[in-house]
Amino acid sequence: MSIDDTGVTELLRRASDGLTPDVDRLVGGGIARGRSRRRRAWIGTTVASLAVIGVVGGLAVVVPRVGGADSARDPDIASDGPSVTATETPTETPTSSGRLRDIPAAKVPTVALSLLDPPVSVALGKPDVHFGEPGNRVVTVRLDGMVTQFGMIGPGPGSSSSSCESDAESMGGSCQEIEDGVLLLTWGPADDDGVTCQGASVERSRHEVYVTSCNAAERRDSPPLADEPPLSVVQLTQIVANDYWFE
Amino acid sequence: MPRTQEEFEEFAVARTPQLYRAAWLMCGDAHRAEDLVQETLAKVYVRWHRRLGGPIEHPVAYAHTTVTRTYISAQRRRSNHETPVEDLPERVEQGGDAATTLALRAALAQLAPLDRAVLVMRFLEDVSVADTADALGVSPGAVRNRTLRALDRLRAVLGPSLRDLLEI
Repeated sequence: MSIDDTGVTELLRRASDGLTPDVDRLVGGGIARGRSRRRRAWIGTTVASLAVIGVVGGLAVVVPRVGGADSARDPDIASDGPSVTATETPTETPTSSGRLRDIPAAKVPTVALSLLDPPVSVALGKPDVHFGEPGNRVVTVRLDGMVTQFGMIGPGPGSSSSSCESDAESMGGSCQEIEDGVLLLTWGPADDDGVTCQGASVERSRHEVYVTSCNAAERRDSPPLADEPPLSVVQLTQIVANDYWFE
Repeated sequence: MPRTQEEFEEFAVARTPQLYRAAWLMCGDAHRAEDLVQETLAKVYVRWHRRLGGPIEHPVAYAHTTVTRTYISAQRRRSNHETPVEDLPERVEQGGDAATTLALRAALAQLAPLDRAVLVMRFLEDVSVADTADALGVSPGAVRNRTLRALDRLRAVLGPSLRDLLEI
């Protein structure tokens, strides 16, 4: 190295000495993004420590589509009964303003499955609601005994296309803008501790809907119950990309 | 044993100025630098709170490697990479650190993103050739070559003003 090399160090330092970043804002933004990423990747300790409770015993059910001819109003979703029905019926075309629809957290899994076309046939366990506030609804269920988590979050800090792509890259997934300002992130299948999981999320106007599905009863340290999670990436995408979630 | 949230916040607050400095020198743009720092903190946050794998052994080095890798990845994704300006600045005005900033910013803009990252790691963060190579996923020889090339380019752009700037 020449004598000028040390000069470069000094130059770099002096050129950046006067920078005064808003540390609190950057740290707050970083933490918010980190939390969002953890939710999507579902590596939170809260979920990992869930107890298996109230799994519906072995009865395969067909969840009727929301608004379908066979849908019915039944507030006792995910009970021990032989079938589970959707309770939310859209009466008009969603305007997709970006705000999340007011759906009780416990009903989110049933509503989500009812959006699938063709319908899916799975045994739906009792929902375990971790967060039930309007801006933070997170619920876990077992589908055929395999853990799946649904979330409706927001408003949050919002993601840019670049941060969505960065998320996708770090999670081995992909990000695409499916509508103007609407970001779809899909990832997986990803193997972690012998459990295969995959997920999808949509963010619209700083509100996020996500689903993560795994092929074991627990997210970690749990024997696989099937080769693949009960919901495919296509089905997960179909769920989160549905306008029904947004008012 | 995972570190706590409070420990992360302490770490983040302490390291953010340095991360921002590196990000700004690589990006040459305050908004992109802020985005890069937040992305970096988010990645460190996730790793920080992971139950498995134990705590990060060297958090500072991890964060600075992350900021560089995130920058490189973002550059690779960008469809519109910065294009070097056609006219190189012939003379750099003197006048304190503002002049230094402008001159260096113009000079760094002439470099390829990976070369810029190499310079920042080697000369701002004082990272060894081997660790720089590891962080960037290139060989040590490539780091040396890029370093020399980047320095040559800086000298070509800044010329005698490089020494002048250092004497201000």
